[in-house]
Amino acid sequence: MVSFQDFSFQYKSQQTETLKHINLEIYEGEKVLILGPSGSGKSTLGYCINGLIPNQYPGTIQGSCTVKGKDIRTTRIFDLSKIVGSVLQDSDAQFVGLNVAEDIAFALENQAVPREEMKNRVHEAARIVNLTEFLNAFPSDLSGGQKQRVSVAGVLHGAIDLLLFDEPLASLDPHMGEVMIELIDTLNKAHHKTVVMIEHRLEDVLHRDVDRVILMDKGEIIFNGTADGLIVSGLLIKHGIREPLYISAIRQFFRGLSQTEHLTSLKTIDLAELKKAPLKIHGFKPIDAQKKPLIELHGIKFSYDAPLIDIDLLTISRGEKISIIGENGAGKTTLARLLTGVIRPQEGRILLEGQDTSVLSIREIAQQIGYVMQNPNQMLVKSFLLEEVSVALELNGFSKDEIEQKAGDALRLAGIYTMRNWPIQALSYGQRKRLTIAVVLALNPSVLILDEPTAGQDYAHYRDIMSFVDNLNRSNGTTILFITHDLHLALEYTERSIVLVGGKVVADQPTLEVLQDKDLLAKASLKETSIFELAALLEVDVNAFVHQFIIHEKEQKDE
Amino acid sequence: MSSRQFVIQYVPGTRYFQRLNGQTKIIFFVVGLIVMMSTFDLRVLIPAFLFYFIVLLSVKPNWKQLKGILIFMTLMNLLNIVLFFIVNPRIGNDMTQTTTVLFQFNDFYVFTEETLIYFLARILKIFGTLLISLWLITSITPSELASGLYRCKVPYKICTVVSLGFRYMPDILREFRMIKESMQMRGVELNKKKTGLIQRIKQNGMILVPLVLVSFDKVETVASAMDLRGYGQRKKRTYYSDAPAASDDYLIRGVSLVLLIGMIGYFVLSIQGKVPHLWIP
Amino acid sequence: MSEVKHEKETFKSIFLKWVIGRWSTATVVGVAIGAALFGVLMNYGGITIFTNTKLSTAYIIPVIVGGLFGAGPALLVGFLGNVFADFIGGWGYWFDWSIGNGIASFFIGLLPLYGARIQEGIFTVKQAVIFAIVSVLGLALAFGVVTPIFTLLIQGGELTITYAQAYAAVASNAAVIIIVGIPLLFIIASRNKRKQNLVEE
Ligand SMILES: Nc1ncnc2c1ncn2[C@@H]1O[C@H](COP(=O)(O)OP(=O)(O)OP(=O)(O)O)[C@@H](O)[C@H]1O
Ligand SMILES: Nc1ncnc2c1ncn2[C@@H]1O[C@H](COP(=O)(O)OP(=O)(O)OP(=O)(O)O)[C@@H](O)[C@H]1O
Ligand SMILES: [Mg+2]
Ligand SMILES: [Mg+2]
Repeated sequence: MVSFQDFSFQYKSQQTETLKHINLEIYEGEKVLILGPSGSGKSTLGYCINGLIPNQYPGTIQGSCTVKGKDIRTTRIFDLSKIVGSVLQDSDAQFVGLNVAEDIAFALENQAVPREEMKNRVHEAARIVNLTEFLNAFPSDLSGGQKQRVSVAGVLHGAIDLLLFDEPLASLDPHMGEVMIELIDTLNKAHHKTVVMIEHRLEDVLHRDVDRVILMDKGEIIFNGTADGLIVSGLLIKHGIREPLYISAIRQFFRGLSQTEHLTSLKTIDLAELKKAPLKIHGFKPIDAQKKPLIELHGIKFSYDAPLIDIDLLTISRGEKISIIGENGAGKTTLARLLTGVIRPQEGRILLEGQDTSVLSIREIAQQIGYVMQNPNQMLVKSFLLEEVSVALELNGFSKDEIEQKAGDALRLAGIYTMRNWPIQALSYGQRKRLTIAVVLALNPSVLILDEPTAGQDYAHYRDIMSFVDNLNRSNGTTILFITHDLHLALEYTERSIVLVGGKVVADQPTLEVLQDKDLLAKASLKETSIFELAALLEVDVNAFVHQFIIHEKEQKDE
Repeated sequence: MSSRQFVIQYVPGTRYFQRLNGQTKIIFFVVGLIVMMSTFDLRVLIPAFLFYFIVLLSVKPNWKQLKGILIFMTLMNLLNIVLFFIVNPRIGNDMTQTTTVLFQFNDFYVFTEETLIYFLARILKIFGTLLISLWLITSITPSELASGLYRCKVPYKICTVVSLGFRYMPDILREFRMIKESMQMRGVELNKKKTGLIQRIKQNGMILVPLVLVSFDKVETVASAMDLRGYGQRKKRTYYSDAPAASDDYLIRGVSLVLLIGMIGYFVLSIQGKVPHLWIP
Repeated sequence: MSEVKHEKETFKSIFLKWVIGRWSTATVVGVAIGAALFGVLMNYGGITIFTNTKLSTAYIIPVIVGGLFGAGPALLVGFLGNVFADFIGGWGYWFDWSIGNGIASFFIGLLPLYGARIQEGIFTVKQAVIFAIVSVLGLALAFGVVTPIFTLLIQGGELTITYAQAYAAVASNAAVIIIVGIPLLFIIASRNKRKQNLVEE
């Protein structure tokens, strides 16, 4: 189906090759996962398959790449589009229709399909992705997951043989993520499409089987084989990808992994042996937080078009680490925006150190509360990285030397110092996100709100960022609020969780408790992580097991 | 933040003059403009004005939303007319070559029947045009506009500009607000009262520049997404939102045709000099 | 946005490419997003000078579209942008002004014709001066001649007042183009220039 032979590619604007000597065959009917750290060239590989390279992104090609026998160098993107359907990384930008039905119909409109036939085919595609009720909805009314399903429906028509997904899970909540993976699986199994999927979240993808996994790093293919083989090889950690949690746990508690097959699901792992092995876990004592309140919310109500946020009382103390979790559209981002004062509640009061924030300007609040927005593109306002980090420092009256010092430090921390003179346009999504974190960290706020800091990040960078933030909390007493869909992250780095459902706080308790409350998780479209399942299956004390796992992982990191 | 605050509505309306298809609406609109633009004759303007007023009323527009605009337009035009009068009180007489003085201030400032009629016609024309435009704006959805234009033989790339433009306008508005917030959080003071003009221009630049850059950065991705779905390769294309013409559509097109023929007839007569430039009762 | 092939530039090729514009998908999208920005800025992006007098910032859009895609696309942005503004603001549809905006935008968008290549990072001070002069002339032609003619045709009227309004439009738009537009062109050009030959350091 797709065949790369000694294929290299260099973007016109780059001085080095982004893809190096790729040899890869993808066969008809296969489902292939491409893994790799951020910036390793995964999207670039995808662009070769769908023809954006060389049609949209010029550069130098060496070797050959054919898609269904057609050489990409001589094939028009239009002809490739009849073979390959692509769902790009940015689901907002590719929604070109005014409503769902028109967006699904876009490819058919371009082929001048008569209207009656088009209607039937649009309904058919909408039925496959389960969007029939949303045909008249507007992009602004859809959640991220729904938008991604619209994009999928838009490429399902006709004789498309191959579907290419670039990070389909990036901003979906755990439940939505499962739905998406199941949908992709159906397309592969029932509709016989060849599937190529690019993702960071290995464990979530493995919710359904994949035929083959390809690991990339720095433009090269490091591994090409089965998921089991990859897990056993230990290459994942080395190249900055997170292993499935249960695998890490087994490695850790039982001195390595003895099983070499059927590792992709906890259900097929033979636990009988493990149960016999002695397991040493320490008792677990919860931390008691006796701190003085920093932020207080009293009777807050807020609505955009319809009522959304409704919170009676919420207190956040100095030095706490809290995660805010909940399904897509639950109001997490809205809550953050209320705290930063960019939107103001219609009812109720927000107190910051006892002072009513309604009398403070956004700027005054921002000197205490730093907010890293969910979408990096909305925060980045300058042309070059260094300028971007410096602008806020300048506005806050730091001297030239201080600015250079602080900006440099922040960029180094985010792992993008070497690119400091690049224009922001040349950064990948994950790199942009890290830049926004650098921007806020440079100002050293006393409360830090991170809106999905790990979306689209690889494991290695994610740990760097998180452990830095963690240090900040310990050394400076910075209060940290994480908004996240990654429950393991919540567990690793925060003691307390606030669970939002439909704008209301349905739970505010220790993270560990939240993750064990099955009813609560179901209500909030979340799901427990595999580490809990493993503990349950092993019939050990869940709290202690999980706790020790996390501590051990952190120690490993520090080594 | 959504498109709901725009005057143009993205959801199709349900009233008679909103259920027509895009092409019919455009035809009806264009003919309406022609009628209003091509004459100063009150015998034509008054019935036409009433007709379009009823059409606009029939779609029950959101008057609250339009109130500010209507007040503004009224004041602007009254002011304009006062200015016209100050500059040239005999403006109506210049068109008819007759003078019927109603009231005289001094040698220059006379108030004549002709000028009065002229001002009346002018007001009717401007508000008539406004009525037709408001009807179109409150009755057509962006999808109907794009497919209707295509039916009217506008090249489809231009129709795409129209539909894509409307698609991204709510997004741009939201981004505008987000960037503003982001800049404020980084320390820009955006208080209108506290800062001078130069300062204000600078600050607006700080929001404007990123908004423009971010928006144009999107071009590449959107174009890729369209290319990947085969845009722009064929000479023709079809529209999902293109509703076939129903009997009501033919009826309204018929009415428009009659109006158009009537106006052409009127025009021919006025070229032959059989009707005056400005009709005086 | 990424076609920087070095074909030989004859007058005809320059004319086709920059005056008519090459209507690739990127151009279509660029014009659409440009017009949408124009519409939004016209309604929400004014800088208040005195109460009720606003300096509309929308005029920087044809500057950029002209720089990136040529004069033809700029014309369409000016024209449709104004139509969009009318549609979302509910001002009624004033196509005498839309036509004026289209014509002015066309002249503003001529900048590739005298050598500016914003996408490749080429924009010099000399070009900026020519740009300022051409733009002011274009604005004067559009609002001093074309719009009044249409206004006269559509509404009839007294030229003195129409001209007074036209001069105000020329002056405020010229101010926006020169004060905001030119620096912006320099920013975008330098960004695109530095986009080439990236190395980590
Ligand atoms: N249009 C472009 N022009 C120049 N360089 C580019 C372009 N797109 C990507 N690159 C560079 O190529 C490298 C690989 O980028 P790519 O987008 O393929 O990474 P990725 O593996 O998909 O990363 P992520 O997981 O963050 O999306 C990056 O270093 C990036 O800077
Ligand atoms: N500016 C806005 N105007 C109108 N409605 C909005 C706006 N921003 C968000 N909403 C709506 O409010 C709801 C909550 O949005 P919010 O962004 O707070 O959710 P979230 O919990 O952050 O979701 P996600 O996990 O997808 O980021 C959604 O239904 C959304 O469509
Ligand atoms: Mg990518
Ligand atoms: Mg959010």
